[in-house]
Amino acid sequence: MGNLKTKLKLRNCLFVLRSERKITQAELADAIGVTRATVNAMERGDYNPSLELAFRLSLYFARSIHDIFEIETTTSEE
Amino acid sequence: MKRLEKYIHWYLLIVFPFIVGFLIWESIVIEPAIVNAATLAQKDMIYQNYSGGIWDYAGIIMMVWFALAIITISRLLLSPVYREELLAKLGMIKERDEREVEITGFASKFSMIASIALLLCLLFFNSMSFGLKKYNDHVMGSDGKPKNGTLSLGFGFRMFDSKAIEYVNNDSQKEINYKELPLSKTGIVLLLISWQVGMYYLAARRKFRE
Repeated sequence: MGNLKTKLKLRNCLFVLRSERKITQAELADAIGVTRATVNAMERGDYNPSLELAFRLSLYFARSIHDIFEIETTTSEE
Repeated sequence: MKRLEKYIHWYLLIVFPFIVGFLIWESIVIEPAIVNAATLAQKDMIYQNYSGGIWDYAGIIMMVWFALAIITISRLLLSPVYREELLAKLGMIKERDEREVEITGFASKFSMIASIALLLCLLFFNSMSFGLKKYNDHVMGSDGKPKNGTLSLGFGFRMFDSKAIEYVNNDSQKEINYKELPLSKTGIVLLLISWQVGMYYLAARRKFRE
């Protein structure tokens, strides 16, 4: 029997939070000091932000990091 | 200062294709005419035909370009901030946020590995030699069997090019002529590989220590 390997995938609800605030990707990008392309990549799940950027998002939306990001785990056999 | 820098960069970029074109024109049109000229008087005529006008202006433009290029290269060597700014501009690198830093890091790593792979290929093909010999008549081999031909594969390495520096030692004079870099093609490739790996190692080590 092989070893079990756990994969972590970071999910976020940035799109929902942004929609609630009725702001564009560009406006959010300006507020947290990144480019619009980065906000887009984060929303699509193609880019995981650094801890610093995660805290900036947390401060901007006044939510905890756990409210914005969640970890999805999948276990597979090697 | 920034505006002056901008003008210098524009001049270096815009004039560069003209300088390349001028050098090609000089090597295709003027150089053969001078080589084919039978007498010194004919050579003088060619120089006089091209002197004045475009020839002189092109010369001045080229001199200014080379002077500015030397200043820019010296600054590149001496100032790390300027080096990073200019190379980022030349490489069209944008690092506006952490994601773009990650992307440029990935692109740099990829280009470094791709360059090393290419250089290793060049090193291999430049070091090996290959020969194919076909006999018109059958020749008996050392094992007593008839042979049609031979295939030879060899491997040679030469670091320096002895023809690059010419030494003349006559009874009347001693002369040293430096013509080009005294490294062989293999030597240059090896130097580039060592330089790339070495610089990567040094930069990574410095970052790890921070």
